[in-house]
Amino acid sequence: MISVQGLRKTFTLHKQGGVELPVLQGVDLDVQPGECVALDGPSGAGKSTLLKCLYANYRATAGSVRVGHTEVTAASARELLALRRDTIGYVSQFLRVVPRVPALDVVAEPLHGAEDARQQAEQMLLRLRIPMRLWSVPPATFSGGEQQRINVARGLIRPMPVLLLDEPTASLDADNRLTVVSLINEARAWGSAIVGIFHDQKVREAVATRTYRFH
Amino acid sequence: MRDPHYAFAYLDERTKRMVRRALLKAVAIPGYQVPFGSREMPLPYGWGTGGIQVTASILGPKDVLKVIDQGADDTVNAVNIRRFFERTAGIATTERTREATILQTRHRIPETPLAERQIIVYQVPVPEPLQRLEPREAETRRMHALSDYGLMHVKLYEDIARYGHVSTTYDYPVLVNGRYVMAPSPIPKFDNPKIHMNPALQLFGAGREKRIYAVPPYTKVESLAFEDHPFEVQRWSRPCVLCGAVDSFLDEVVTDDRGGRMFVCSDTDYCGERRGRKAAA
Amino acid sequence: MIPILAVAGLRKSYGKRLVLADVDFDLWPGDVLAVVGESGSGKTTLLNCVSARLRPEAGTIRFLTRHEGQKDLYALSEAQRRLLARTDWGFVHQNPSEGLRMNVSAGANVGERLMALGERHYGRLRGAATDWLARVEMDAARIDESPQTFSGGMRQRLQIARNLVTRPRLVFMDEPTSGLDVSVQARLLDLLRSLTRDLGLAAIVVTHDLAVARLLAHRMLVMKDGRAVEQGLTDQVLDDPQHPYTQLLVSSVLQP
Repeated sequence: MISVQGLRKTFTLHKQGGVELPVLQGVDLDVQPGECVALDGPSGAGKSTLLKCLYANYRATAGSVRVGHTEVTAASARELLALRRDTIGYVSQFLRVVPRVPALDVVAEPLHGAEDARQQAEQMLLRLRIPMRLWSVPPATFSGGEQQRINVARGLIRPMPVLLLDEPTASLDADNRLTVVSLINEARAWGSAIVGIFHDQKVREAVATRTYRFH
Repeated sequence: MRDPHYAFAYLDERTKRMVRRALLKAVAIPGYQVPFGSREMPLPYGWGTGGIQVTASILGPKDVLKVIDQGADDTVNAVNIRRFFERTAGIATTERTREATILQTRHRIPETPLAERQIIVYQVPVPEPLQRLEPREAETRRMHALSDYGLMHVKLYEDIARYGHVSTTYDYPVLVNGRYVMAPSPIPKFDNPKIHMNPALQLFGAGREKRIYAVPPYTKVESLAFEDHPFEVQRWSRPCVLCGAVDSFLDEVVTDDRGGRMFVCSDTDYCGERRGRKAAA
Repeated sequence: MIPILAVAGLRKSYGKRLVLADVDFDLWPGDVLAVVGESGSGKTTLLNCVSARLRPEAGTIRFLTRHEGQKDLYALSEAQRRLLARTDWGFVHQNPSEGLRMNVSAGANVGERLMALGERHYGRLRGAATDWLARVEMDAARIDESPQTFSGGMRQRLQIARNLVTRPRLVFMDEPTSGLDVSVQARLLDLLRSLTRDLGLAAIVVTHDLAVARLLAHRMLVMKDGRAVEQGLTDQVLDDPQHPYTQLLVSSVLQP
């Protein structure tokens, strides 16, 4: 499902006189449906960078990134948007939402107005223990943990062939962490190919089928 | 008796030819405003110079001319214009609609139906129907060229939103031959239906604005309206006190200073004819 | 699939000054493209060229019409372009008074395009106007009021309603929220976002505000001195800018 070959990412900081920061220096990684690969390594090693290259949030400097049938490094904006709409789900570390949209609608959005979108979103929010009184409130005022759960809910509500998870449990308490673990394992059972960064070792052990180590 | 110091009907022949060329263009494109080289006339703008130039250009020695103002032959303007042509052209004049070959009018169409081979000439102050909504001429010209008449209907919409009905009662805009929106001159909307499919040739002259336009005989002319707010003419609750007509445009005449008033036909010839028939009957 | 707008090799000079040089991009149905840049970058000139308000001196702009396939904009007659502008396109001006008739009622403003297209039923016109005022979250009771009495944010909503009533497939927006209070901006952006999504509009939004671009647009074009120096997915251009100018622009944004 995912096939990365020789991926390199170097940041060129023009404002600092063109200094180059090589972050990824030749990543090879294959992920099959049903696998969950945990990215492991010290801070700054490039774990987030790899995820962002997979999502086309960062532009690869060299190498190949294939997701499904699409070569991400060479795809047009249109193809990438389609990929993000139908193939790749992404749970980022920080929630970035439109100011006035209520939490329920944020979570329901990936379902594109399906008939039971609201119900599914409500189920998700219940599972993640978001109190009902917050469902009609925009998430901008939520606590860090609540925002993260909204992120997770939105990222996992619709089964996707590829899931990219960047620290999905970082600010969560034990109960919610367990819930997220279940959600991830459900996705894996469905057949998603998952790549994730899991800071918490117990979570990693509960979801990962494999680990990719950065040096 | 024609005054020999003037050219026939005051204008020189080349001017008349220029006006007739404009008239031909106007007739060829019903409702379209044709610019023309409006001349200085011996009366100021606003007194019918456009209509006079059109009449002067089509008048021949055998023509019989009727001139009315607000429907009457005996008002000052009508009298003056009629005398002007008597003096400069020596042609016969009449007050009888049926006997005229050319009729020049300000602000009314005669009640007596016109016939083929008659020509009616309207005096027009403002030829551009969109002028009050869009003062830029470059823009109105483009609107006419592109048939972009949304703005005209905006005016009607606004009236209905504000008053419940269209407030325009005279110079009510019309669509000519399904193509151009035209200002029929300040005739009451009561007269608008007469423009439609009229057997006579209708010519319009605006002297100050220097425009000529025309409606050929038997042309489709519709007053602008909405489907659910159709065009309606004025009606009076009383007949004319002089001739008893119930279907003509009535003027309100104040008879005393105690609120007394009476309603009489604005078209003096029509009223008189009806009274003649009644007397004979 | 054919793009709804295909722009190639666009060039425009004012005398000797080159204001637009070799700009290319494609726009697909439902795409929202932000054109960002500082003053003098050529972004407004670009918008005016592709919306047929300004004739470029070189390049082609091809629009996918509803029923007649792709057409070169400048191969059409002015009448055809004007018709397109009234039906299939919308143009939202920075200053709403430029995009509204200030001396007629809100309802007439919304209904005008429909009237221009031949709608002759007063009841239906009023119904459409009421409907659209609600969609742009305005109080429908103000339908008979003149925009002179409206605030800036309301005038902008009215302008949007006036443009969208004919269901255009392509909307051009020139700094649609500049000059409005921050809270008003946020609401308006939200409205634009949901409308473009619900109606599947393709849109080109010129803005100098990167936050607006991030919120509204899927794709972004960065203009500098008349050239498109970078193009891509909005989040990619903002999070991983490649071109030196883009890096400068992104890092210059003040974060409250």
